[in-house]
Amino acid sequence: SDSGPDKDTTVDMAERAADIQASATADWNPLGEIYVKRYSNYELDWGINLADYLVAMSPFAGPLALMPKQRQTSMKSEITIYTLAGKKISTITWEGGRVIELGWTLSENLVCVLEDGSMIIYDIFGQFLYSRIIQREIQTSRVQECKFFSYTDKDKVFGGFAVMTCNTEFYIIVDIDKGKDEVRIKKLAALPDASSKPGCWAPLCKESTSVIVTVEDRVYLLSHLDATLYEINCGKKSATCWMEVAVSLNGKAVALIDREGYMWAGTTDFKSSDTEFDLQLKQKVARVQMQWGEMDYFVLVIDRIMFVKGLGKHWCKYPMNGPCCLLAEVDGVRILTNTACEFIHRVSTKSLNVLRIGVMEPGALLNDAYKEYEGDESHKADEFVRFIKDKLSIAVSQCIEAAGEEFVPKVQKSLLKSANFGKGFLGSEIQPDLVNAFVETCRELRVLNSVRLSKIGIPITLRQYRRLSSGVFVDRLIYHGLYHLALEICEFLKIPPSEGTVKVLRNWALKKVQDKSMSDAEVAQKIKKKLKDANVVVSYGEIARAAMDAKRLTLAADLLRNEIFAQDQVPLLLEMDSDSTALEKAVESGDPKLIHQVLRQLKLKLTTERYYQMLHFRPVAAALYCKVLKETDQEQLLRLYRQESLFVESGCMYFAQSFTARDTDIRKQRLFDAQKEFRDAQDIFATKAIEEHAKLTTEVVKLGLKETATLSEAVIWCVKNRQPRQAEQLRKDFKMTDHQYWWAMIRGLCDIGDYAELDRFSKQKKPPIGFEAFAEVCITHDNYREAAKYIPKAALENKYHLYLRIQDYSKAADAAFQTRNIGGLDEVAIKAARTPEIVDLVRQMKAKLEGR
Amino acid sequence: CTNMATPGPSATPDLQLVAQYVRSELGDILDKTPGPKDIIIQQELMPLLNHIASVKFLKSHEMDKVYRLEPQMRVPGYNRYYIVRPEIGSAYTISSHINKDMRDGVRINYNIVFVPRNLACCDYILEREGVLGQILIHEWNLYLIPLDEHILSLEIPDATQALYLHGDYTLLHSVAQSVLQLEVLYGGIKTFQAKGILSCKISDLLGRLREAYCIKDEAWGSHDVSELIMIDRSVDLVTPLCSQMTYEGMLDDTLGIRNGFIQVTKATTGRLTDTKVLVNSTDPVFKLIRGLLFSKAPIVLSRLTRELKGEYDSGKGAREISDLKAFVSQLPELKKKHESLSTHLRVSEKIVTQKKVEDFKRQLGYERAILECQDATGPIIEYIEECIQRQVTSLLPIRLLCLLSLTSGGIKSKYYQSMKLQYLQSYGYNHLSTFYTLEQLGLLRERTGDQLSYQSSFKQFNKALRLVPKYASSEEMEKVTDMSYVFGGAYLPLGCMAVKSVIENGNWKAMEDISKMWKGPTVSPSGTSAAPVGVKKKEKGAKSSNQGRRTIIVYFVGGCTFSEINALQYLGQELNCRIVVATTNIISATTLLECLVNSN
Repeated sequence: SDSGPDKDTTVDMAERAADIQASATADWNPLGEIYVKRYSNYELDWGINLADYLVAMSPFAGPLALMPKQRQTSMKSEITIYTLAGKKISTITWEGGRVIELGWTLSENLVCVLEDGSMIIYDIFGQFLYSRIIQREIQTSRVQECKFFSYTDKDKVFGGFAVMTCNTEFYIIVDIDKGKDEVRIKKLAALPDASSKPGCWAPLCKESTSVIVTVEDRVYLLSHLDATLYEINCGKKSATCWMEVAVSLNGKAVALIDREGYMWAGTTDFKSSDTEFDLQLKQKVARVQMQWGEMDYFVLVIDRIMFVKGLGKHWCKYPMNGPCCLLAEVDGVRILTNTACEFIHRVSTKSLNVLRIGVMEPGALLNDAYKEYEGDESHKADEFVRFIKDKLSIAVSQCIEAAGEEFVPKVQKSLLKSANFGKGFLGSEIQPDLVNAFVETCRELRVLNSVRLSKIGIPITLRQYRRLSSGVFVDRLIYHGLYHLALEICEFLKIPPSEGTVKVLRNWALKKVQDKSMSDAEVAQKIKKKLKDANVVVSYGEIARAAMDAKRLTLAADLLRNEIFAQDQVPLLLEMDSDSTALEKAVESGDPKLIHQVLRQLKLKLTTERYYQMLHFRPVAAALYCKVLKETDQEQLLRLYRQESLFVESGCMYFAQSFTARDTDIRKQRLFDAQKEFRDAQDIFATKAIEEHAKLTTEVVKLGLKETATLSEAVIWCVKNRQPRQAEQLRKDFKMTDHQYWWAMIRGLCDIGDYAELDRFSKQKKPPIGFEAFAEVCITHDNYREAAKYIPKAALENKYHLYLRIQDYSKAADAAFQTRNIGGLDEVAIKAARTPEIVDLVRQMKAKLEGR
Repeated sequence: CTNMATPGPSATPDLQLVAQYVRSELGDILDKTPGPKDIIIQQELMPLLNHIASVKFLKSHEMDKVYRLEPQMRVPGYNRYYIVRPEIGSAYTISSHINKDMRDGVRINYNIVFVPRNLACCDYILEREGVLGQILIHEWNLYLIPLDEHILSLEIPDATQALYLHGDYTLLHSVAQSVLQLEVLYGGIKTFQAKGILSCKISDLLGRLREAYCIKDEAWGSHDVSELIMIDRSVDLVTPLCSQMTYEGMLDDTLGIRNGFIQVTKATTGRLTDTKVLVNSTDPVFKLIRGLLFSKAPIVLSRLTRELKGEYDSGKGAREISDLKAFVSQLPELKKKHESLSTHLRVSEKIVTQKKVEDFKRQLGYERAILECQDATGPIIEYIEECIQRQVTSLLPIRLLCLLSLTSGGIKSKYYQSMKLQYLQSYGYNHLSTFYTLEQLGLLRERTGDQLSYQSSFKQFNKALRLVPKYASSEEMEKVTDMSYVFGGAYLPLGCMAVKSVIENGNWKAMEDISKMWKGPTVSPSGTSAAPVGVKKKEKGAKSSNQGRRTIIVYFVGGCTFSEINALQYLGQELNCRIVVATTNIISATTLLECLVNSN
C-alpha cells in the first residue's frame, strides 16, 4: 500500500544536525513537493486538561479563553483568559446560563454564546461590554451549536459566528465589535431535509456568508436566499455519511471527511477536487478536528494522531499525547495541547531557497560562503562568492527573506549575518530597496522576538504581522495594556507620532485615570509628566472626560487645566459647572463658534441676572450676545443696556424705535423713553435735541408738511410758498443762526427762480455768509447771469474761482492776475483754449507776473 | 461671464489656487447629496460664488438651477442646498421655507451650507422652528476671494463696523483661518508682522490654530510668500476718508465696485438693461488705466481708441486670404477691447459730470488744507457749514468733519456742537445717533478743555514723513515718484508708509520712534536681526526679473481702499517685490460712511 508516510525522515535528519542550519531544518517533514514544520512556541505548565474545557483561540496569535465544560444548565463557573504562553490575563466569574461556545472577535473581544439565544461580550480584561438577545425566535428554539469564523483574503478581514438552533435553523452574526445595536444578524434559508439531523456544518465566507451543511452524503449550501444541493462526485463505493467539514480562511477550499476516514477536498463550488483519499480507519471514529493550513494542505486530528494531508496522496502524521485544539491562521495551523502551544506550517520557498540541504540557489551558497568565512576558510568563502557573483543581490535578498521566516533568534541572526556579508561585496552598487529590506526585516524581527517572549506570549509570525500591519499591531498591544512595549515599538519602527506614540499615550492615560490605587494628585502628576516627556500633543480634554466618567472630578479639573485647545476644554468645563471659566476660555480662544455655544448653554442654564453678571466683564462675548438680541429680542437688549448703564445705547435705540413704530402713541412713548435715557446719561445736547425734534414735528405737521421734514426743509418750504412770517417764526423758535437762515433764504428763492427777491434780500444787509453764497447757489441753478451780479462783491481771493465756473474767462484771468495765481492763469488758458484773445491775455499777464 | 482668466506668468504665486481650493471643497459638499439639486444662495454671496465656481462647474456637480434666497419663493427640485452666512435672518427664512413645505406635504432633502462656519445661534433658530432635524448642515470654509491677481478679500461688507463699532470679533477668527489657508496653499510664511490690537489678536489666534492643527514651521514645503504684514484699519483712518483720485478709486467712490463688479446703468451704456461689468486685470483696458490718476485716464483712453481703430483698419487693408484669416481670428479680442473701451469712456464721462456738480476741485482744496493740519480751522469749518446748509450730499460734511477731527486730534467743542446741531436741523434729528456711532468708531472727537491731550499722531507723522509735501509748482506736483501719486501728489497715505517702513526696516520701530502715540501693540518676528531684510531700490535701467522676487502679503484688518492698493502696487515696483493685498473688505469713504449715516 502506498498510504504510509512518505519517509520517516526525522531520525535521519537529526543525525545530520550538526550546525544551525541543520537545527533549522531538523523538524522539516516532507509532504510531496513541500515540507511541513511543527514548531513548539511555548511549553505549558498550567495543569489544564483541555478535554474538560471549552476552548477559544483567536487568530493572529491572539489570546485564548477557557471555560470548564458545563454539565448542568446553571452552575457557577469561571472563564479564564490566557496568553498563548499560558499566562493568565483575567478571570470572569460566570453565573449565567449555559454557554454553548466561546469565541473571539477581530478586535479581540470575547463572545459567549448561550443556549438561550443571547450573546455576551467582554474585553480581554474580563470587563463586560454588552449583552443582547441574538434574535427573539432563537430564545424559544434554543441554540444547539455555534461556530466562529474569520475570513481573510487579500486586503479583507472579516469575522463573526454562526449558530444552529435546535430546530435546525441557521443564523449568521457579524459586526459584533461595532456595538450592541450595530450587530447584524442574518437568517439563512431553511434546510430542505429539515427532518433529518445534519451530520456536520461550517460557515463559508465568500461574497456573502453562508453555511455548508451535510445530511448523510448530501451537501447543502444555505444562503440567506436559498438552499443549494451539491452532488459530490466521489469515488467511494459505499454510501458515505460526512462527519466533519472545514473551510479555508479565504473561503476557496473545503474539506470533508466521513466516519470511515474517507476524505474529499476541493473547491467550495464542489466542482473540482484535488484530493480524494481514504485513511482506511479500522473503526468508525467519534470525533475529528480538521483545519485548513494554506491552500495545499490541511490538518486533522483523529484519536490522538495528527495527520497533515497534502494534495493528492501525500500525507504525514505526528503522534499526539493528549487532547488538543486547532486554529487556522493565514500561514498555518495553531495547535494547543495540555503541555504546549505549537504551530504547524508549510516551509516557505524563502526558507527552502537557503536552508534546504543541497540546494544550489544563490542564497544557499551565500549562506555557505559566510559559514566558511566564519570558519576561517576565507579562500573557500571567496570561491563561493565568486560563483554567485552575478546573482549576489538575489542571494542577499533570499537570506533576508529566509531570516524572516524563523522563530529562533540564533537562526535569524545567522541568516542576517550572511545577508550582511553578501551586502559587503555589493559595495556602492547595492540597490536601495535591498538595504531597506534588510533594515526593515531586522527591525521587524526585533519587534517580533520581543513579543514572542513567553512573558508577553504573542507568537506571531512575520507573515501574520505584515498581514495585520504595524498600526493594527500597535493597537493590539495597546488593547493588551502593553503600553510600554507599544511605545518602544512605535519609536523603533518609526511610526509617525499621530499613529503611534500619541495613540499609545492617549490610551495609557485613559486607562490610568481609572487606576484607583493611586491618588488623584499622583495620577495627574504621572500623566502630566509622561505626556510632557514624550513631547506630543494628546488631548487632555479627552482624558479629563474619562476621569469624569470615573467619577474623579478633582482629577478631571486638574487635567483639564492643561488642555490647550479650547474646543476640547470648554464643553467639559460647562459640564463641570465651571461656567465662568468656560466662558473665559471660550473668549480667550477667539473662536466665535465656541463663544456662541457657551453663550447658548449658559443662557439655558442660568438666571437672567446671573447671565448678565457673567457678561459684564467680557465685552467680546457681550458683543456677540447683543448682536443676536438685536435681531431676535430688542426688549431684552434694552434691558441689558440699562443693566450695564449704557444709557446712550438704550437712548439711541428708543429714539430709533420712535421713528419706526407704527402706532403714534408708542412713538410718543419711545421718544419720551429716549429722552429719559439721555437725561440719565447726562447728555444735555441730546436731551435738548429730542425736545426740539418733538417740537419741530408738531410745527411741520401744522404747516402741512410730512412728519419727517427737517428744519431746513421747513424754512425753505416757507420761503418757496411765500410765507415769510412762518419762516421767521421757525427761525426764532429754533434759534437758527444767521448763516443757517441766509442759506435757506437763498436756496428757497433760487428754487422758485425769484431772483428779484434774491437781489433785494442781498441788499437787506451785508450777508453774513458773503456774496459768494449767492453766486454759488445761482451757479448750481445754472443761472450764470444772476451769479455774475454777485461775484464782483465777493472777496478778491474767491473771484477767480467763481468766474471760472461761470465761464467768464477774461474776468477769471483778471482775478487770477490780481492774486498772483500763476497756476490759475494756466488753467484759464487751458479752458479758454478756443478763444485766442484770452490765451493771449493770459500770456501777457503771466509774463508780467514772472517778469518781475 | 464672470470666470477670471488665468493671470500671466508674472503672477507667482498664483492666487487662483485659493479659488481652486475652495471650489473643490464646494464640489465635495455638493456631492454629498447625489442627484440633481437646486442652489438657493443669499444675495450677498452670489457674486462671491461667481468668482469661485462657474455654472459649468456647478452643473458638473448636478446643479439644476441657482436661486436667490427670498422670504417667499418656489423651487421645484427635491434636493436643496442653501448657501448662507451664519446669520439669524437667513436661518429664519430657511425655517419658514421648510415649514411651508411640510404644511404642503412636500418631502425635500434640505442642506444648509454655512459660509464659512456654522454658529450656535443659527442652530438655535433652526431648532426652535422645529426644522433642525431635517437638515444636513455643511460648512464651506470660504474665506479669501481672489478678486484680482493681486487682491484677496474676505468680502465682508460691514467688516469695519463689526470690528470697530460692535466689537464683534467673529471676523478675527476668519482672518486667522484665511491666513492658515494661504499657508496650506503657498507654504509657511516666514515672517509675520502685525500692527494694532486686532492684528495682534489675530497673530495670537493664528498661533493657537497652528498648534491645534499641529503645524510646525518645518512642515511646510515651499515658501512662496516670504512675509505677511498685518495692519489694523484703526492705525490709519485718515486715508480711507480722503477723496480717491486714481481711476479705480474714483470708480469705487462714485459708482461703487462691489465684489469686483460695477453696475453700469442703461442710461450710461445705452443698452436695454443695466449691466454688471467685471473690473479687474482680465479687462485689457482697465488693466492699463486702473492705477492712473483719473485726470490722466482720458489720454490713455483716447490713445487706445486710436490704436483700436488702426487695428480694425488693418482688416480693411488686408488683401491676402491669410491676412484676412489672421484678422478674423483677432476679432473676438478686438471686440472685447472695443466693448471695454466704450464702457470706460462712458463711465469716466459720467464721473466727470458728477464731480462737476460737487465742485470737486474746491472740495479737494479744503481736503488738502485739512491734511496740512493748519492751525486756523475757521475757513474749513465755514466750508463744512456751507456743505451742511446746501445739502449737496449728506456724506460730504460728515467726511470732512471726520477728517478734520482725525488730523487735528478732535474738533473744538464750540464748533463741534454747532456743526452737530446744524447737521441735525438740516438732515433730520434722526441723525443724532450717527454722531454717537462716529464717536465710538473714533472718527469724530469733541475737544473740550485741555488742549495738550488732543495731540494727534497724524500731525507728528505729517511733520516727520512729509505726508503732505509742498511743491514749488503744479508741474512738480504732477511728476511725483512716490506713493503720493495716488492722491495727485497731495498726500502720502499713512498706512502705506507704515508698510513701506516695516518692509525696509524689518520692524515697526522706525514708525514708533516718530510718534509715541501711534496706537496699538505690535508683533514682529522674534530672533530676526534688526538689520533691513535687504531691499534694494531698483537700479535704474536694470531689468527686473520676476524670478526670486519676494512676495509680501499686506493684510488690512478692517478694510482698505483701492487707492491704497494702487499705492502698494507702486511700492512693489519701487522695491522690486510683489505685493499682494489681502483685506477683510474693500472700502471707500462712501461705503464706510454710508451705512453709518443712513442706518437711521
